[in-house]
Amino acid sequence: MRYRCVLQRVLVRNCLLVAALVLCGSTIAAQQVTAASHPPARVIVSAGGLWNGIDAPTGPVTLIIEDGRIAAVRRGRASASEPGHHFDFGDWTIAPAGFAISAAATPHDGTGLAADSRLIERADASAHQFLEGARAGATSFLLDAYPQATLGGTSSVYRPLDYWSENREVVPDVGVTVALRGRTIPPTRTAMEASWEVRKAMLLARDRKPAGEMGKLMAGSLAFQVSAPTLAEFARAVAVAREFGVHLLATGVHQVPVAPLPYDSVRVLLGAPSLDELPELWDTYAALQRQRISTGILIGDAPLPTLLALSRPYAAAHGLTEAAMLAAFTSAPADVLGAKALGQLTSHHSADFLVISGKLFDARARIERVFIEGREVFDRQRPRR
Amino acid sequence: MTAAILSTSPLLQATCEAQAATDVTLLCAARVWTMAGDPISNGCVQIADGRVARVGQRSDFDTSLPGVVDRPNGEIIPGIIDVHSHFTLRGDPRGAGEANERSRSFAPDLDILDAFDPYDPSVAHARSGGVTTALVTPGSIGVVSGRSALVKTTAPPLSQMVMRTPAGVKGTSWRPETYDVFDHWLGEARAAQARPSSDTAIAIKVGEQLLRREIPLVIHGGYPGGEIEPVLAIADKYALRLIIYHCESCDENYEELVARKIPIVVGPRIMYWNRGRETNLASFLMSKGLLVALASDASSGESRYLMDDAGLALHYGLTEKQALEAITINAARIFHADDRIGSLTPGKDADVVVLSGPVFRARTHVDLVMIGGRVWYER
Repeated sequence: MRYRCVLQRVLVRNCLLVAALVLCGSTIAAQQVTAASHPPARVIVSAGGLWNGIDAPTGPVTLIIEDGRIAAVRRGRASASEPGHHFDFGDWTIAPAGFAISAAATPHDGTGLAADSRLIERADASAHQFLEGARAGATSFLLDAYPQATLGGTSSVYRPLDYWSENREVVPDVGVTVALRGRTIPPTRTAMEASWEVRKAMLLARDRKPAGEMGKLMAGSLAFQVSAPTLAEFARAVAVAREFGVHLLATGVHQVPVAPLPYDSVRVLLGAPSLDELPELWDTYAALQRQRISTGILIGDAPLPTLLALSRPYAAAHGLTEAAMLAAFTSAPADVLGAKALGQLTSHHSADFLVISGKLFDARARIERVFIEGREVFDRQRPRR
Repeated sequence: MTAAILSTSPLLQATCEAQAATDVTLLCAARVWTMAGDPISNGCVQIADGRVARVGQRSDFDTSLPGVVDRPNGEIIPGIIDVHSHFTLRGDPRGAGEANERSRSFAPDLDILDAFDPYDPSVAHARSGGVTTALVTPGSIGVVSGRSALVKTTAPPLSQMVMRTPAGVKGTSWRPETYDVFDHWLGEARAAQARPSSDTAIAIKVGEQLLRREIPLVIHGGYPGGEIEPVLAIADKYALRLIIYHCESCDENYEELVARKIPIVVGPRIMYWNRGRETNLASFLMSKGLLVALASDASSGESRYLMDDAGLALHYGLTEKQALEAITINAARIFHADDRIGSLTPGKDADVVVLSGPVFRARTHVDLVMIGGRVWYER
């Protein structure tokens, strides 16, 4: 009896303790979710220099961020008495964050055709992807279908689940994802068949004007988003886009033909470059710029400061300034994707930025912190996992 | 050296070749094989506006003017035409390449140009062997595997390389359902001809082109056991233009082919061991009056070495002229392209190959390749 009473008291106390812990944990989690889904009201960030993604650098500088957007950019450092949540990064540099690509799993329906699916529903929701992107300097991800999908579904620019209650689309309805290449996993398919399947779907959509994603593609409200890492695939994509009069968004492009493109409605996302691809990357970027084709560069594994530092001689050979080089990774892809609020640190744009120790174009520089909508989401000194 | 550098980078290739054209207007050599009569000793070929303007004796031309290529010890031949090629069609690690669609057996709606890679180095590689035109075609895995195209081995954009599309429909004879598939398809196409409509599937439109004899049906077949007979029956029933690739056992049933005057494209193998003896198939079929071309079936063979393979056919009976005809004018005639290519005749495309020495000699190499009057390769 006595033992049982003691045991009962222990159990009751432990249950209460567990319940208290659960309650506290839920409260903390709720606060995190709440805090993540609602950016801080006013944030003040001071730093030694600012690259805004458009102009030459300035500094020292203070960013005033309200409700996740840049409200003002002031020269000099902020006063500690100014209301808001303060960050002072000393002589470190602030630069806009860039874009990366994220492959979403496409439905395995046996054909690799899934035009009416939305890739956001299968987007990578892992903290790992987000952290890898942040380490390299990218905070927004363009969804793309796995390379083996012929018609892979509708893409968007999004931010992964981590830190928010759900995958958040920042630019919905970008394009219908397409690959005009052979498929080497079952069911196998040659490039002939892939091209024919895409054409067939587009012919049907042109004739019947369906309400779904293919109808929107033909009406021009979605882009023809083609993964085109080879010359032949890029040329094929331009030919099909021209045949059907749709807007082409070519992603993962590494090379383009020397001759002027026979079609105007083309936008290009290059990359993501590895360090040994930099000379060719800037040759291609410059070639597209000369043809006035809207072009941006995606970030991959190599961190942005390293990319910029090592790119300098190749980009300079084409007459690009440092500001233009940074813009190629930030405001230019934002233009390509129609992401009006992203890619630059000027008034009314989203406060998505990198805090870099040292000079931006210095190979020794590191991405120390990453902010999205004025909230710190990454600190190199304190990795979350 | 230049060719070696150009062949390694598609982008560099396209850039440099755009700048490499020279204004060559007269080519002279010790012998000119026109493929329109006997070869001309000490002859010249004059070029104007991308076409052959005049061919004759050296004494008929002023060789002191600029723009002359003169090979006193060399020979000039028409551009080589490889009418069975899958070059540039790579990609499938299972080894079938992009030429063989495995998802379905009946695919006349497929277009080889959707898989052809004009930036692939094998284009320049073929050209360096004197091949100026190739018929690029789907593979042989399906009963009907798609449409082929005639392309010049110049450089992108693709639209400037394509000489004719479609140039034919590729099929095979060795599958048991061959007769039924063709009969059903062409029956539907014939019925569609009787009720003209703009809303017709591509497969039916292609079938109609076959029925009108605008394009040929090109069959991979002619193996032992008479498996070619169903296709011969279909060709008879629907009055098709029929061409046969390989035809390895056609020395056994050649009477059927002779009676129908069916052209044959032999290759990649030139010599066959049949019934304990070595047979030069091309020589045998030519001796029976058939129109025969030699082709590489790249990448089973190599387009670059088609001229060397044709030299092998000199064994057991082919003359130099016959071997050269098999890779030039015969190939052009088989695919009804001899209005433009295949011989050095005034008015035809200036597709010309200059050799450093006599054709079909082991030490002779290709010195210069001209396509459409523009130099595209120079050793």
